[in-house]
Amino acid sequence: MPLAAVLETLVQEAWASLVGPIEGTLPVTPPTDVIAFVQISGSTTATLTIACNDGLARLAASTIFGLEPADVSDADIADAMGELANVVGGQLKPHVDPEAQLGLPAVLHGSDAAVWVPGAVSLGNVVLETCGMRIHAQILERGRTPRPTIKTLRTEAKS
Amino acid sequence: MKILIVDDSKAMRMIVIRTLRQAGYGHHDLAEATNGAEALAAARVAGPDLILSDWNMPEMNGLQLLEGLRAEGYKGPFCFVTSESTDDMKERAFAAGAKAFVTKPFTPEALASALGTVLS
Repeated sequence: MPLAAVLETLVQEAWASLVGPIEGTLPVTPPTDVIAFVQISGSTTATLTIACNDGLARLAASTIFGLEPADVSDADIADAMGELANVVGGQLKPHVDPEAQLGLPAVLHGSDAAVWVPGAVSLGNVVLETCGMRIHAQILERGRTPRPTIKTLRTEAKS
Repeated sequence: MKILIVDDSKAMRMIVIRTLRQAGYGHHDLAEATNGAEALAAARVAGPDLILSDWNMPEMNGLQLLEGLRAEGYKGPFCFVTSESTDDMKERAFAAGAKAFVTKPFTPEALASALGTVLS
């Protein structure tokens, strides 16, 4: 099964278990308000990112914590989204590298939130929709391009 | 019965507690710890009858917690509730003395089934 299809299934299952069912899928258009990410490090280094807008993250956290959306703190949002990334990452790991280590999740929250992985290529990318809002999940593999070497062309020493 | 739930995620601790209630364990004494080190300290004081622990946590992970508990003589049942479930991890968990391994995301039935096995 392609990694994107695996990712779609895992995000749907994790969201359904933690928050509630997801309705349908949409074309890729990444939102950027809240990004949870976790690294899978082994024979390759992959980063799973799960992003959605603040409204959906707030809704998810309010459902999990049993609070009104207005009463949800940024820490609650970070906790809920981080755990979502952790659950999906743990299930995704065997598909990337069974011997790899799963890192601890981290969450960025803000209008310019973005995760940048040097030389990364996307291994899978899926956008899902629930409650009229989108969830964008992606697996980025750190580039395997060898690091450029530095060659000495000239040295000068004072005599 | 005292049940100690160990997870660095407050969201997951709430989900586990909610699931325990749905599975009929809500009347028990449910306590929480946010990592292995905190759980080890709590276990020394409270002596839980059952520990449900995540694996991947900061400061002290679930396996280190289990090994620490066994080294201190704790003999109560220990169940992993974790998002990772490779054969290697299960082998290490059971070798260290874990009684069950529940994979996140889980259903109330899956958790209840595992607890039924552990507590029987």
